[in-house]
Amino acid sequence: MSVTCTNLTKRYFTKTAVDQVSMTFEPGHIYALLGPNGNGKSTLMKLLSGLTSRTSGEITVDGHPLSYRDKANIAFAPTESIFFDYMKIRDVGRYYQDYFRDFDPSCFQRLLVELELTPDMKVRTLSSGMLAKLKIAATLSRKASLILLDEPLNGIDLLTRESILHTIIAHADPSRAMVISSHMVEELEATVDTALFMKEGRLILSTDVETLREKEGLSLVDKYRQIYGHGELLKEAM
Amino acid sequence: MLTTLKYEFMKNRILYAIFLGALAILEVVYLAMVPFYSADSNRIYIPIYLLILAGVFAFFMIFFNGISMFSRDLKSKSGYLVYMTPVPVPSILGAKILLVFLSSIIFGLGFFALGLADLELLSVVAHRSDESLRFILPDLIKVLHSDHMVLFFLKKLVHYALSIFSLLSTVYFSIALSNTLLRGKKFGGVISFVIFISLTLLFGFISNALRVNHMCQNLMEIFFGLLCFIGTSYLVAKKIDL
Repeated sequence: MSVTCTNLTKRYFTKTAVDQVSMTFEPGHIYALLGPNGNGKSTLMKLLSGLTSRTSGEITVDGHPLSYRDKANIAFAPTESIFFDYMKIRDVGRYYQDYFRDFDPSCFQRLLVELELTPDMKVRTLSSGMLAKLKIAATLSRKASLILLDEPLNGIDLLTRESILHTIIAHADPSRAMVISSHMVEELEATVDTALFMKEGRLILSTDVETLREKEGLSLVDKYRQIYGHGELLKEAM
Repeated sequence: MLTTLKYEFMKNRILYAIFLGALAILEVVYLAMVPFYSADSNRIYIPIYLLILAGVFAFFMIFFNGISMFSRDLKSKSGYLVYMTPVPVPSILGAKILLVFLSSIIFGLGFFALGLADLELLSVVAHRSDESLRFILPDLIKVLHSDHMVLFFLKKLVHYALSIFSLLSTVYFSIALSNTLLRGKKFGGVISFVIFISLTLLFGFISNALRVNHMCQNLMEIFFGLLCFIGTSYLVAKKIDL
């Protein structure tokens, strides 16, 4: 399944969050969606997952316009906690199993063990690191063709980040496209094969990471620095 | 729709448990006081009044909760979990309306049966037949003993279902409007409230004008309900910004 955005634009009153983005997400690739806060990464992901309406342009899935049916093939892990208050980790698995045919309960169980989560834990008592792991476990237990992970490494300690990245890599396969947005550019370097740089809602560069290294002799971090400048990096660090 | 209905119920189960718990406590208090009934004291009526009050409150809360759950899903992040599923919006809305209908019907019938039993018990203990339901609601007793009982209740049930559908669809439409097209606009909330009041008045006016013909009245109710339902589905499916 390939997902294509053509001149995709999202405006909130006077602010343009996503501006004329054209891009195709092909299976077998892991994309890094990069850019400082407020440059349209999350909005683009919400547009792709059908949670936000577009102002203009279009999103097509294998040539047809994105509809609610396509949500069966698109797995989205937003940066915020999305689970209902009453839920335990076990209930999250049941919820995904009830709604998504591609959900694999045994994979979910395995990931819970790997990520050191127990099914009896109440979602509302989880720390931000545990919540991030739970979102990853639930999302990656789906055999969806397009996986969208919005800031999966945000606010999480180094060891948890490593464990999440390890899980993400382990679940990459030629039949699915993965899009990961993150500020942790350095940590994504070894994980992704394509980098998408967004600035002020525009997709200013889409590049193969290997080509970037070979032709320009730049790492992702170098390119990020080049595009956004030291000022942006300082802001990010703060 | 059944899966969504199940999860809508799960989200509300604590609220339902609180209602049932409060009613159970009041019922126990009432039952504990019945053996001590005295014709000179009115104390037995206190738990009865409280039960009625709690029952009516719970009944209205089921409606308000049905409305606030829809609103919350459009405003809070837990709405992601609802709208990221491959379920068509009309099915999600239908499940929300169906939950209010079913829970209010089950609660209403249960509460009515309990009230009936309590009154009969009091009439026996107090040796006062005027406490019995047949004196309080004689018309209802007549219906219960008539051959048309099933038809009567079926008609009432259909009318109630239509009213719920029409009312909730109108409220949902106003909320959807306020959270989509009017989102972030100055006085957006006020405008959507005014639209809700105007629609309700308009529907009420037309419905009253058709009062002589129940069939026409019901058809109008279905028509208005459907109109708002389709409008809400369109707004949530096409204009949503979670």
